[in-house]
Amino acid sequence: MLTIYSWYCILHLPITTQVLVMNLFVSILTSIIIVVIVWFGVIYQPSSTDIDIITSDQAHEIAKEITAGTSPFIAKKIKTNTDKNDVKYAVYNTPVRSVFGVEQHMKINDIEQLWSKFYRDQALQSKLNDYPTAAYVLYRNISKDFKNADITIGYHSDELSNKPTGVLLPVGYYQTVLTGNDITSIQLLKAWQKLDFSREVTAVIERHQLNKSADVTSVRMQVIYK
Amino acid sequence: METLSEVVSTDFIYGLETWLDDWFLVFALALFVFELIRYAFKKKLSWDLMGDSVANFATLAMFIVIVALVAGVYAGVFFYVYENFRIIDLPVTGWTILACIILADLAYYWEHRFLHMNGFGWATHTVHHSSPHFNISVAYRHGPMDWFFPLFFHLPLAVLGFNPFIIFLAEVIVQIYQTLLHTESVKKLPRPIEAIFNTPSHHRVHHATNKQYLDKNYAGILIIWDKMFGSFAQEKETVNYGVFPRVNSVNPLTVFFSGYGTFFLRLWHAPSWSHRFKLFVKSPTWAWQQEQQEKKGSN
Repeated sequence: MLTIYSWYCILHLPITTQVLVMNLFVSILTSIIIVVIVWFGVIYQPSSTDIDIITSDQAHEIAKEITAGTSPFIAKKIKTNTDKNDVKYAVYNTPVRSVFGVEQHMKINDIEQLWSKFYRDQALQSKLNDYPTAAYVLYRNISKDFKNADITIGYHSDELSNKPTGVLLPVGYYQTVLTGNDITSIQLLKAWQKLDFSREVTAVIERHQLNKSADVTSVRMQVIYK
Repeated sequence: METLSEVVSTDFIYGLETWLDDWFLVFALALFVFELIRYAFKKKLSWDLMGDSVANFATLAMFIVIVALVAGVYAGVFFYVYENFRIIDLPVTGWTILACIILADLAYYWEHRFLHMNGFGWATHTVHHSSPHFNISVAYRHGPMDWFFPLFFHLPLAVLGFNPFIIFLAEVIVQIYQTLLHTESVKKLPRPIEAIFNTPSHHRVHHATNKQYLDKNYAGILIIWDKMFGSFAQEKETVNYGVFPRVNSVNPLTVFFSGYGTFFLRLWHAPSWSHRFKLFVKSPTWAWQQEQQEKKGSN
């Protein structure tokens, strides 16, 4: 109540009479409240995944248009992408065979929640032999509208003690969709638009290269089609 | 808005912080030259002002040497606390940086107020206040322990989950803003700015020895903290700068160690252990009053 009263005084009294509105205790208490409010604001800040909603919808629209064959622009885009896949985009094998970590069937938009779960999984983090070189995100059983998937976030089994089996990656060749050093989460989400929607996607894998401070230094996104 | 939601790499943040650190000093030096020319035009340029300014930059040099020695430990403490005691992982985005600057500014307010409220903190901060002049070079007039106290007030940000690189950047931004306030060239800014932000006018009050201005305007960037917490004073009458007792020297070593010199002398000559304890925890005004009473008693 005292804090509310103090705020009332601040807002309604002339500047010269605002001096000594709060005593030390109320000032500290108010500061703590401000810190908590700002902190919660940061926790629930507008996420870049909000943009993903548009991205996924766009992807869905694109997929529908492809099926209907109504958009010459899309058809052209697919052709361009296919050309790139054939000529410029070399076909790579993914550097891992299995990923061990946290797994959930969920909306792709909500992946931040799985990242939080991954970082908070003490049992998993304690299994690391040394500083991890990379974290992997594997998307399987992706829904036709590209909104849901079985998502696994984890480490390469070789980096963990006892080398647990983990989730085995679908066998085949992986094409690189996106790679770079300063990839933002938005760019990563937009990269889904680069997929060849005329083909059925078996899995998508992201490799997040980490330094010793666990900061992401580069990202590579790869896709495998049926 | 969308830009603020984008994830920023810590390499970028570190690069920005280093760039600001390096180039702002050059910018500040240019402003200082401008101030000297202004003083010359107003016929206020004196040998004392020049000597004081040289002493200010000399204390900066000594401070940089100390910071170079302790920087690793300082940063290490932040990273250790962040790695082991953070409550949550906050994303490294523009929003997070903005929030961290606001909270670092609030932390700065309390740290600054703390330095004015106890003898041990004041012993280092008094160096900054001891100049009888007020210009950009005074912003660089540092005490030997100026690096020490910010640690305790900013460390909670690492516990809250702010990446240490963001905290360091926020600290630098608050410091840079503070530096720009040390000038007599700017009288008053437009009222909305004066109402929300700290300004040269507000900060002149902070450096004053005028009775009604004592222990006022601790803010870094936002003056609203002072208005909220009852430590605000408006600049009305002409400000007299400096501290009591006066340093009366432009010798960099005398200036740099004056605070702790006076503090340890007071401790040495203290009549009792309870008095010594009070010298640590009570305000410098109390110590000054005690000293004046003692002098009156001996006369």
